[in-house]
Amino acid sequence: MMTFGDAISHRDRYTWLAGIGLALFAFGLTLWFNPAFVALFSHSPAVLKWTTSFGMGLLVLMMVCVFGLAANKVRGARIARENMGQLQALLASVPHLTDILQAHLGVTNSTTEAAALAILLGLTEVEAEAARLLAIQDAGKVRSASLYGKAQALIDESTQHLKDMEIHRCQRALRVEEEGAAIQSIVTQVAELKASTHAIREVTKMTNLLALNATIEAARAGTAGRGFAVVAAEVRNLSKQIEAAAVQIEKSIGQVADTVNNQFVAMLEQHSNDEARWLATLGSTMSRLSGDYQVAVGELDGVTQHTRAAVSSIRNAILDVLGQAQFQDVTRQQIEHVQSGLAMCGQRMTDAQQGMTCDWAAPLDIAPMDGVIETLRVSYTMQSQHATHDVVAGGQASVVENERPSIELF
Amino acid sequence: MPKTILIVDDSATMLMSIKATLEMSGFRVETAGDGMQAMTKLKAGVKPDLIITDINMPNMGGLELIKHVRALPGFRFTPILTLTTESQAAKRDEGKKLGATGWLVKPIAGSDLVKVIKQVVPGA
Repeated sequence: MMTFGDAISHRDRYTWLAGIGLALFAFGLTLWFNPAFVALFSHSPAVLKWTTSFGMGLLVLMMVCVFGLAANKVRGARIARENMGQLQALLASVPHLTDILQAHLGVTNSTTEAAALAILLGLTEVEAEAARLLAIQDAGKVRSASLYGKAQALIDESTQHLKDMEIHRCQRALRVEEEGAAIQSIVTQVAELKASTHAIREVTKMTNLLALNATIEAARAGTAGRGFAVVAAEVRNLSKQIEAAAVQIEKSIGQVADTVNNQFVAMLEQHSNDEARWLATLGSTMSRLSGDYQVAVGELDGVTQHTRAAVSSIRNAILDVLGQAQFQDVTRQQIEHVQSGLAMCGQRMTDAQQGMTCDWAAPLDIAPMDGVIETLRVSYTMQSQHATHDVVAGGQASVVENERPSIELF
Repeated sequence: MPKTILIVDDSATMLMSIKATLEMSGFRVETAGDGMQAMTKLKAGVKPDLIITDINMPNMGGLELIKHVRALPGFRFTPILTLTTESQAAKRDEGKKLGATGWLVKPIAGSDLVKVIKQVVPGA
């Protein structure tokens, strides 16, 4: 293929040859039609003949130059048409390239937007989880205060119960001691009374025996002893009545002793019942306290679980946000490819512009953007870039990479 | 004792993102901006339990790094994962041939990355 430089040298050669031929032709005509020149060589036909031949030669040379110039003109017109065609093809292919680059930028824009939205969503989730965590903490704080107040009341109540029981226990010990002493005194007195009644009964027995003896002696005395016998009978009756009274007194003393004893036992039982009641109340209070404590522990466990879940959720959201930040590396590479495409396009335009400023008739080495587009396609690293390119360019889709997973362990 | 992971990538965003993700998951992380820096660290005595490398990097790319790492004494069985936007099957096959343990395509979710690490690093 003829270069632009070759075209210039050919054109210059033809121009110089045409100029020389024209100059010689003009010189030959001047000599030929000059009468002085003809007269000068009239005596020498050979010189005239050679001069004439030289002029004809010059004429032929001139014809060749004119033909060459005409051919060059025709060729220049053809090259110009070809150059125009190349420029048209170049300009026509520019929109194709810009469509592809626009599509890449569109994908980049979508990627950026999707990542930004995902990051915002992640941050929103983090904020929501943090708010939920705070609400849980606040609720736990309120509930803890409530449980603390309740537990404090139960503890105060238990303390009061213990104080009351201690007072009661002291009073009871004092009362038991006092009442025991009184009862002991009564028992002693009753024992003394029983001894007295025993003595009375002994005296009565003796009196009865004496009365019996008196009756016997009165009967032995006969009439003289009849009055004495009556007295003796009365004494015996009196003695029986006294014995009956003594028996009754002894029986009453026994009943009094039993009553006192029973009351003492009842008093002791009463004290025991009081203590049992106090202890039952205290046990109930402690049971409620234990129940509340279990509730508090359960709620604390619930708060801990909620907190753990919220923190885990926040951690996952942050991990997702960190993953989304990788979009920058992806879009950076997408933009670098667009920059590369634009640079190649700009270079191609600069080449065309420089070629046109030299000589329009010279052939330009301008190719359409197809080469740039193919270079761009080959340089892609991401499947999404191939897909975008293929959609816009309508070329061959690279399906092989589609079959490979994004996570592949060898 | 936390496992140590060396991340090699020329993107500061990627380094920061992956480093934070792995540190949150309990790993110790070393970073390098390209294959050359990574080799310097390994030769200086850093002994990672796993290397995660990008493929397209200045000075020394990921595939060349894998080749050099496998030639180092004591790194024959160290797991090496690639983390790249590169999707060409030929590059994957070359990585596998050079001794890569797995091929991960960016972007990857943090939870997925941690799962893969637990698969390839014993005791992680």
